[in-house]
Amino acid sequence: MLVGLTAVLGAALAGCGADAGSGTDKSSVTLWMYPVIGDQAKSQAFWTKVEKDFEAANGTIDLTIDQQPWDGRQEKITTALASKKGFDLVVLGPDQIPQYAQQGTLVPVDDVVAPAKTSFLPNSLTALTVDGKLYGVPIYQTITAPIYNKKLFTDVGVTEFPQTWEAFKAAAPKLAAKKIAILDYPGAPEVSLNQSFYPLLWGNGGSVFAADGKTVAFNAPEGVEALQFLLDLQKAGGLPGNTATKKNDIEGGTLAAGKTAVYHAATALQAVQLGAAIGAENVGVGLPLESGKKVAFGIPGGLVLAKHSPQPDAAKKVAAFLSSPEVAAELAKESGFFPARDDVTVPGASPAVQEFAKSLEFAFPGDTHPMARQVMALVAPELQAALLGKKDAKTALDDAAKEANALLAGSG
Amino acid sequence: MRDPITGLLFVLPMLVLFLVFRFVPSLGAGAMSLTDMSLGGEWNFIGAENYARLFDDPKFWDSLWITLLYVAIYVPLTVVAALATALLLNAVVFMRGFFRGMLFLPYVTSFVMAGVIWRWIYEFDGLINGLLGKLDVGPIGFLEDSALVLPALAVVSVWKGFGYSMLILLAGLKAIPASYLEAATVDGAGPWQRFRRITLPLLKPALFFVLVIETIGAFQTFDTIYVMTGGGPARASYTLIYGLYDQGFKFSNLGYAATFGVVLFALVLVVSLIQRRLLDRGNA
Repeated sequence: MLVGLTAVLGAALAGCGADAGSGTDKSSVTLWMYPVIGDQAKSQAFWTKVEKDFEAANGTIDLTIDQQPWDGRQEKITTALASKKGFDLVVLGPDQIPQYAQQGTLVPVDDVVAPAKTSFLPNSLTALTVDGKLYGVPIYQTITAPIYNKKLFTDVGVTEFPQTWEAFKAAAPKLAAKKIAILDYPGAPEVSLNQSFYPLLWGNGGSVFAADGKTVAFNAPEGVEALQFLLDLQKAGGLPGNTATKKNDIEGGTLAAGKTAVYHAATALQAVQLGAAIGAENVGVGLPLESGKKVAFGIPGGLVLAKHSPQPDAAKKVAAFLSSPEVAAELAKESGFFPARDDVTVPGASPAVQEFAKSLEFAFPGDTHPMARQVMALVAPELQAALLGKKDAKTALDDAAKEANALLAGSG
Repeated sequence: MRDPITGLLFVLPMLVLFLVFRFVPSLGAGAMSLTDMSLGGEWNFIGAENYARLFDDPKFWDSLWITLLYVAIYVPLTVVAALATALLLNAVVFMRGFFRGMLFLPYVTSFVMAGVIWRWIYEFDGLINGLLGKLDVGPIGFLEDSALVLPALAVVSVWKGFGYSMLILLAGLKAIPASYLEAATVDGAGPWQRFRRITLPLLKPALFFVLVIETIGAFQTFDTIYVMTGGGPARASYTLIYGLYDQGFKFSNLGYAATFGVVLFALVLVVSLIQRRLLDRGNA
């Protein structure tokens, strides 16, 4: 009790101090940043430097870069926007922006990129645009690709990475004979479907939403086949035993332990983490797994501006600074992501990162629909039910579609 | 000192906190459940529409059933654990403070850390399955099997939460005059008889307090589920409070989420009233 009281008092005093210290004509901008740079120490050093550099160039603006965890991101941002507190700027992906834009909690930022619009990757800008207005200033572009354990494949005589579903199904039993699951499929509902089921759906020519966005399309034959592909693999011993509830952490996970062979939608950072566990020379990076179509999930990270921000002009200056070629190049180097503009050369990119760059041309930002995240929350438990053997592929997806369509119609 | 104003002044700080942070928000949630409020803050009055939708929603009934099941598993388990440890601590003389501290430790541990560690314990390659593997049993999917997930979560919550109830019961045990137990011993009562006829009846007020508190807590369990299963597998641990969270923060239907909250509030109120009635009868 006493400790708590002291802490509260301390915080109150500190608050007073801060108030007294800041000048009257200085505006302050808070930015919520996420661990796009995986290494915590490097991340801290990088953003501290950005903060200092910006403040040195803009004496009247006090910039605070607040490091947030990926966990609970959606909830925290939702709460902050609803309570009109927390941040002026935050990094969002294209699938999250439409719902907030529709709710009117964000403001457009077209004027920030206007001076150098042609330098930005057109795909990055399109992905962050809603109803003709740009809501995010792209500061990086991500890409996912399959990463695999080369040694496990060569040990069972598979010399070439299985690039298609058929090759995958053929290789699965060979690995299963050694108690190795070919696909490290993360079925936990916390894992974004953009990094689990959707890449399979897209690779088979399917899509999450119908073209008009009024209904869902994931239960069309392309989707059912994609789920059936997983269930077939599972039958052949090709998925880990806890596939329905496992997350996609590399560190401490089954892939790093050599019990699974491939994660089909990994980030470059995850390739580095896998290298730390099994040796960088054993890590292979493939092209998107396909069944007719090569599609790699990849999104720009966009700085969005909250409508409640009391100093939008200062915040826009911050966004312009972070998207400048100099900062973009450094960020790309440290994060292993890619710059969202084509006038930037990344210094000293690692071989794994260069392999990932080959998938950039297949980049797809996911189905950017205002209800994308909500629909995910309805699909994930049904996929889990299928992986647990409670439902067949078609029933599971039809059940999810029924709920999702009710949601889209505004009644569910 | 008997002046009612003075009395009021003494309870005023607590009263203000209660009104501002409990009572007013509860009324607010009740009002919100009659609207279609979304995240942006705009709302329309829609009467009982949310309630009609709720009672029509199969997910609500599933989550209600799962919540009741969870409460039925958790409450007896935690009361027995708290009582057993309190009795042990009461009997131990050697380093009692140390043991009390150790047993209370989980209560002050971060839920997120506890959740992560218990995930490791329950995993396919985890501690329990590793030990079972030595006996050629398993592996058992504690968090993968719909039938096992609620007991598995209840065990984690009990481990995390029994310390608080343990302390209350320990205080209750200390308040029982030693002379009663001595008199019973002289009369030839054995340990079980002393526990059954003296300790348990005298411990009743503390025991009922623990029962009520733990029941209310069980209805509101969220963090264990959020950290460990996300309501899964396939919604096997999707409780009412998880439904509230989903509606409010994933689907941005604040009005509909408030409806879940109001129903949960009513449920807890009814259960608490029943428990109180039983307690009164027990005292009579």
